[in-house]
Amino acid sequence: MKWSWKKGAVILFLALASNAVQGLLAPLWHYGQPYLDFPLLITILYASTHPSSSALFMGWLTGMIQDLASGGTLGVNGIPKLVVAYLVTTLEEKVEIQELWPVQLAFLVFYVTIAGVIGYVDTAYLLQKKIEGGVFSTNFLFSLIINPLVYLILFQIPMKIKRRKGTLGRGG
Amino acid sequence: MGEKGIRLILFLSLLFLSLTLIMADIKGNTLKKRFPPLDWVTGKPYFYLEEAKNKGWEGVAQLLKRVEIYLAPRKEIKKGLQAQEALKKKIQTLEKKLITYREAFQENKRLKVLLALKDLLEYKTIGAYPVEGVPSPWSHALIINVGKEEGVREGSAVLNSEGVVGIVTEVHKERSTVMLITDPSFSIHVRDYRSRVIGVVKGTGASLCTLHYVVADRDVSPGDLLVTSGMGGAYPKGYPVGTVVKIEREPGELFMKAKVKPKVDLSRLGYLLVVLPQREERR
Repeated sequence: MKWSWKKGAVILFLALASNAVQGLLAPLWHYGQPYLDFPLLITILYASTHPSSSALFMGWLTGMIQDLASGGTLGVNGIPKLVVAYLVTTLEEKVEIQELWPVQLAFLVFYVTIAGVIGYVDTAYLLQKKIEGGVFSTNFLFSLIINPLVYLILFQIPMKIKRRKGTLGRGG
Repeated sequence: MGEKGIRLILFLSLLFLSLTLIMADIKGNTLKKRFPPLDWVTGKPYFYLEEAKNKGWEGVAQLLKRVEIYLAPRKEIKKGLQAQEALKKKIQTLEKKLITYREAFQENKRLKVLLALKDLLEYKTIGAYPVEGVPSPWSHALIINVGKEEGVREGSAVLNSEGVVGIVTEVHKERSTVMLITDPSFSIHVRDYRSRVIGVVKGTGASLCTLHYVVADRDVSPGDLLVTSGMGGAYPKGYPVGTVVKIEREPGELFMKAKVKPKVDLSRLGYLLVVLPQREERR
């Protein structure tokens, strides 16, 4: 892994920007809308395009900024994103998921589930806070659909178009 | 060590760090207490963004203003703090001055009352104030700041705006001793302001005085004001002495027993008037 100022700046920018978007979108799901975790999607995107240690740091940093910005306990969002980044970077090396839509979708659902379960465990067991509906709350179940769909529409389809044109390569 | 090893170590390190942060946060916001800037940042960006979004352009302007305030040069903040400190000091000085002025105002008010009283009395009087001795259950005397040089003589009456305070018992060159109305040796000839019945008020050593030599069937009731009768010439006629608070009439007794509360509050004596003997004036 090679660190550079440029890579650090990109990580910081992505972490801040994803949280800024999350902040602007937050009012949309304040009133019972399915929960969209934009920083998580950016983490998955970065980890899948840069499957290295920097992805772990990026995921962790994004989660920590999310905790800071939302006023929650530091680490509640940091851990799920770190774990997801670790899983993405590890699985990315073993499974080629970019070309198969169903596999890709299944992996995305898996990542969102992992992030949701870890977030639930953090909140319910470490912080001893009650979560309405438990781990299978309506919001959580909807998030399993919404997040992968948004990810595919926002990132995967444009990337495929670019790849076809031969303008995007695999990072690392 | 390969990329996988580094990644695993980084993963475990960050996981451990996150768990530590969570535990630290659970134990009473330790981090936010130790690093106040963290508390400023925490939770606010989302709130500001949401607020800006809800308010439209006005909200964006407010958000920019907040950023501007946050990024204000330290020098300006320091200058502001210095100005605040200077203002605080100025306020303290002014408060002290205000206390002094209030005290002067109160003193002025008391003196005005005394002056008006002086004009009302037909007797020649002189202003004085206590310099020593605080009236208490054990002490019924005061020392005032005027003496022979000012014309004070033994037997001079001492008054204030409320009523009779006492009588001068000892005179020195520049000081005089005043026996207070509550002293057991003090006595004064009085008249009931309502029924015109006359009697003598004597000190008891306690806060209340007693009324003597009033025949039991005379018209004296609780609440009656007793004033100086003017007999003896030392006290001006009709000046308040005290109020009757309790009367006891026992069968077979020639005189009634009455308790009198002095009009003067001896615990709060300020400026006084000393009545100079009339004979001195005539001379």
